[in-house]
Amino acid sequence: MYSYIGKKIISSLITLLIVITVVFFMLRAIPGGPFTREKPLPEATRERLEEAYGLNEPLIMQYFIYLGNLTQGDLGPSFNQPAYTVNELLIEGIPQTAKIGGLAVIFIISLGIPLGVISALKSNTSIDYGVTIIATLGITVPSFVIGTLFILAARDISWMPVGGLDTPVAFIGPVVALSGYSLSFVARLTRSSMLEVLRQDYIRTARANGISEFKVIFKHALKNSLIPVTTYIGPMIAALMTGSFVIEKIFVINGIGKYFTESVQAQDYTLVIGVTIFYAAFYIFMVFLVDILYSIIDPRIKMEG
Amino acid sequence: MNNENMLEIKNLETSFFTHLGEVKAVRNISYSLKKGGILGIVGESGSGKSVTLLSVMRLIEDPGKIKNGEIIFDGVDLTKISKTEIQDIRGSDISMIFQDPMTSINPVFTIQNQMVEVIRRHMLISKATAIMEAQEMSNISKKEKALKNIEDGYLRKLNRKEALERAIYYLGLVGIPEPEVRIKQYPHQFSGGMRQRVLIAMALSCEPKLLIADEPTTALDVTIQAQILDLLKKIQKELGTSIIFITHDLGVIAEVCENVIVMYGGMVMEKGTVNEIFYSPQHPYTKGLHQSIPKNISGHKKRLVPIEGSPPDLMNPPKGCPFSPRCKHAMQICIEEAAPLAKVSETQYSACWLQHQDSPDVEGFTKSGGVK
Repeated sequence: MYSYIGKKIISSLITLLIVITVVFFMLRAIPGGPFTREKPLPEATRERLEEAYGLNEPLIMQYFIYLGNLTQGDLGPSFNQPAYTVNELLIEGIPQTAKIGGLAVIFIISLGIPLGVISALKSNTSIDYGVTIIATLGITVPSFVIGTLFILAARDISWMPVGGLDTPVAFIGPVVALSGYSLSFVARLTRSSMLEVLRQDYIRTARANGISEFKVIFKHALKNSLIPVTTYIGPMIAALMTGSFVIEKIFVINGIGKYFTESVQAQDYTLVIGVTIFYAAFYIFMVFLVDILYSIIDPRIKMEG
Repeated sequence: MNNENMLEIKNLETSFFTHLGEVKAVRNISYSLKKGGILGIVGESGSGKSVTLLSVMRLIEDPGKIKNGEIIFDGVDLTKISKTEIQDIRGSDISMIFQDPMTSINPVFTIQNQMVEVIRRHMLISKATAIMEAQEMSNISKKEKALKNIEDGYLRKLNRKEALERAIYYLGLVGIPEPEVRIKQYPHQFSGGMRQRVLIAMALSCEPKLLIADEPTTALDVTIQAQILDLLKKIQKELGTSIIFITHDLGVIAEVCENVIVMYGGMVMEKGTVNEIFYSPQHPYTKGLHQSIPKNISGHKKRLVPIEGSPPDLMNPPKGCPFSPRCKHAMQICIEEAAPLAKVSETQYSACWLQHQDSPDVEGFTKSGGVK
């Protein structure tokens, strides 16, 4: 167990280093730079700026300087918002994003799994069709449409704010819009997985042993049917917790989701790598957590590295 | 009804209502099993042998339905009782073990978890233990109340520790070495034969009166098969459990059963004692089954004689005898009307028109004393 975790940490760090390296050099391969404007800066100004940020060093040197700073926990200054460092931007943005994301995760799990179970138990009835229709809508309608609908509704409903996160009610719009796709996906996944498990021989054995239908479903079947759902939920949490550009734009939330897009457009090298590291690390951690969860749910999966 | 019968099935009809039409899996079947008896049901795939017993357990799932008939177990008609009542009977009075032990135990729970669950679901402590417990109470009024409850037939369920002891005892009984260690393990840590033993232990743990074994040895290799058959025979002898044994293997039938029912196309073709079915089979289908078994008597090699044709389509079964399209003795009446079970001897019945008084004489077929 401990050697497994140790190996996992080492391999995670290697993965992270590869991600950083690839992103670092790919960013530099894009024509232009952080100080490229439509109206070019005077040559002298640009050179001074590049010198100030260390961009005049050879590329390989810049890479090692960056890694050196990174080991100190320093993600560097933001090129595009000179008043802030990347660390400051992340520290400010992450809580906003995580609040929305965390609520969305709770919403998805507490609603998606029960909906899937009900849908499976009542398969091919009007309840099942109802869930299926809503789930299909949730998967196909993009989050910006759901978000926009909320904004439209907020115009006419006095107690619903149009943006920001100042009141508890303000969370409804962004959380629902952010959850739509994953919620529907989890419900569908749970349904099909549950239906599959209910056909298994061991379910028949449980019934033949007189186990009550409630226990057959919520003990014997549910634990087995959650295995594929867990696979999806791990990376899903990482994606939701790191924010969505669209949602944050629509609902005027100062999270880190918008940096993902904006920093790439501005070729803000340090910010791009900063958010990438955050996302990658979170993702790797969630996958690791899913691995551990697997071995708890299914004893056949052994933690050997 | 006869008090000696453990189970009596009368005119059972079970169908599956698929979107293509009604599949008549079991068509008007009647038979009975004596207390402590061991009955074999033999037939090929799709002959309705499993569906009959799943009907007894009321485990027929949608779109299947018991259309007609009575299933009388210990004086109670199982087709008439409620869902909760049948759940109380399943695993307690009637247990069932299934064909594939590899997939029949829940992989994500320990054996202990699953066995204790079943035992605690059904078992109450014995009256003697309950009285002993009550006697040990220091508070007089509580003690009297407890004793009165026992007199009224109120007994508590086994607690976890007692259930665990019981589970370990039964694992030992079915021949699992070191049961107190093995019980903490998960199903994937057991081999196929061991898993079937676990399932048998689980089925026996609540002292069923009837054990239904649905092809329990089909998925096991031959040496393990023999061990499991010996185990079932031992259980029947020592615990007095009645057993119904479903199989398509005549060899297995000969090994364990006292009485045999031969099924085909959802109907009973022939029934009798194991000696009658093996040494003087009366139905052409039973005879066909015998000819298709590989034999090597004193080095004399003979070609196998298969039964030509294929089993009937139960969506649209033949009007007459289900075997008539494949039967070399088929007559006009066989196509028009299914033969009733005719009494050939005190214990043997065969559903063939050749047993009828008015039918032509054919070698190997005994006429019945009259249509029953």
